[in-house]
Amino acid sequence: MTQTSTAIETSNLRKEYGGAVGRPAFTAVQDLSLSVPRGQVFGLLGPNGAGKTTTINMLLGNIKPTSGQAFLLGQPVGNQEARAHLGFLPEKFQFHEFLSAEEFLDLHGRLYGMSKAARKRRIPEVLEQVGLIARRKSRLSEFSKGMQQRVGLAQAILNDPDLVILDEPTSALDPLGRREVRDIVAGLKAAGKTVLLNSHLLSEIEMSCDQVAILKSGQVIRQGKIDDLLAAPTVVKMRVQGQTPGLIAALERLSRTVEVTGDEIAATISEEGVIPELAATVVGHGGRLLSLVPMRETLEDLFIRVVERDTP
Amino acid sequence: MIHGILILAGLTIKEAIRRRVFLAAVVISTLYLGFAFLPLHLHIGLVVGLDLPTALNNMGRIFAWVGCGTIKFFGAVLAVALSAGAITSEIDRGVLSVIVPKPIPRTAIYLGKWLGINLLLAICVVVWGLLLAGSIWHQTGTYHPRIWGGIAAAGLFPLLFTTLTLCFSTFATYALSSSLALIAAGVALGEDLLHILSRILEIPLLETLSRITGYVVPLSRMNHWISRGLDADGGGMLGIGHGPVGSAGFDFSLFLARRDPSQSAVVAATSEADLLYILLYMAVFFALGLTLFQRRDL
Repeated sequence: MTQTSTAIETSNLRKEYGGAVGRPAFTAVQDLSLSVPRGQVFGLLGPNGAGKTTTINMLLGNIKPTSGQAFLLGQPVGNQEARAHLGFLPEKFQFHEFLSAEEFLDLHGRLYGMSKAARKRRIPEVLEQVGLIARRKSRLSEFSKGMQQRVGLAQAILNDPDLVILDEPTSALDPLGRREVRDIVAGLKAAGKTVLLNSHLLSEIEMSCDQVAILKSGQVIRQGKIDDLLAAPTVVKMRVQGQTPGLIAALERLSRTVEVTGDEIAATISEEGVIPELAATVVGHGGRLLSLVPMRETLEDLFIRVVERDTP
Repeated sequence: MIHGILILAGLTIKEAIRRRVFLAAVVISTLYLGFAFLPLHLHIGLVVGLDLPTALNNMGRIFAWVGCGTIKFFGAVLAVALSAGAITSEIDRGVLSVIVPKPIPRTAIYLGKWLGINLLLAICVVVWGLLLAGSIWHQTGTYHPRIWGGIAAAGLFPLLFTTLTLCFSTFATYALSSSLALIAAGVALGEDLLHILSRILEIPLLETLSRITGYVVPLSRMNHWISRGLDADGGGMLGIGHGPVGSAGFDFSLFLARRDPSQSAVVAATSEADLLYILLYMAVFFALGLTLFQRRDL
């Protein structure tokens, strides 16, 4: 198979629904251009109805785009060879519950075209990874929603795929399960695999992803590395004992605003480079610096900021 | 491709077996089995005016005729029940969402489902046929080899309804697919109704409409093939098209001819072209269903 530097490449991908019999067309995804490098964990974010699931379905070949192009692992979407190297866990699924976990994975292994020997080797491995090895003989009908999600994750990584697409993989999991999924994603990344993660849990995305794309109304409104997207800290909170008017005046010269509440000082700064100077100023004026915390923007802050304010 | 078809056919069979529909098939089997032990006392009450062997032979023919009718009915009902939820319902429930992205073409998924359902129904038809033949033998002590011709023709019903309903299920929900299949069966019933009305009212247009209906849903043609299958060579199990056989008591051809002479003639005129049309009809709906499934968004 063609070895390209990108695992997913889309160009002006567009999907419109309806438009017939005089009704206006609804555009679910418009001119989406994404580039997901190999070996990275890429997060797809967006409010409900932003077009995330439609995008994933177009990438999987489940939905035909109205226009535009998409390539997975260097092959056009729908290519059977590329699909053999793809793993997918959908958000909404119903497995064949009359099968045991082992039988279910054996079925999907056969659908992937894996040999009997490969299935025999991989099935216990992936069941171990998702923490279900002890329940391998249990029927899926006996599984909780969280356990079904784990076995779904097991089928997504069964074929040792180069690209794994996970649509809300932790929605039914408890905090321990979420940590295990994070570990699996980290393991996939360490093994050089690419992961496309669609999740509403922004903290999960922030912890797992290298890059994100934020979608709104079917368009990408932000895309890039998380560190680059998050705004530099603007507020620094300090706990200082031995405050003097001179110390506060010096801090005010370095900051845009300074608020003092007892021992706590909140300084609004213009750039990150000022932070060491703040610490030096406190110490230089005889103050006792107990703590200094730059209040960094979280992914959730960024998400809310861009989704609420940005117009695509 | 073949590998994928076989995996999905096996999965379809396994899934069908665990559903209540299969339980219904088992219940139907017990009905045929139960028929064998019904206290009919044929040798006492139903043979007035005939010698016993002839009467039992005639009863065996009638049981075969009615039995083939029940096989086609139950087969068709099971076909609709198994096929109606095969595509759209599975998409809606998220069953296909982990299968479609696998490295197998959609054609294999559709073919696998069609094959799996029809294999299961073929097994049902054979088992019911065996039970029917065994029950007739147990009740009458007669064996009619031609019954297998009738059963084979009756097997066309589940085949046609699977093909038709699976096609409907590519765009319709379980309820709508089942309804469309029932509507198709209703349209087919209209063929006979229009035919009878055309005779009673002497309106040739109704006969033309009857013929058109026969092309739209060719169930009557398949019914004719059951009759033809049951018909023996040179006189026949039912004696259709060969004049009265009836020196030995009950004569089915006379019965059919008295009931509806034109219908008897239609059955007698059944040709291989009709069978070809039925197969072509199924091929068209199969291709249509496959095309719709390949083109639709999931």
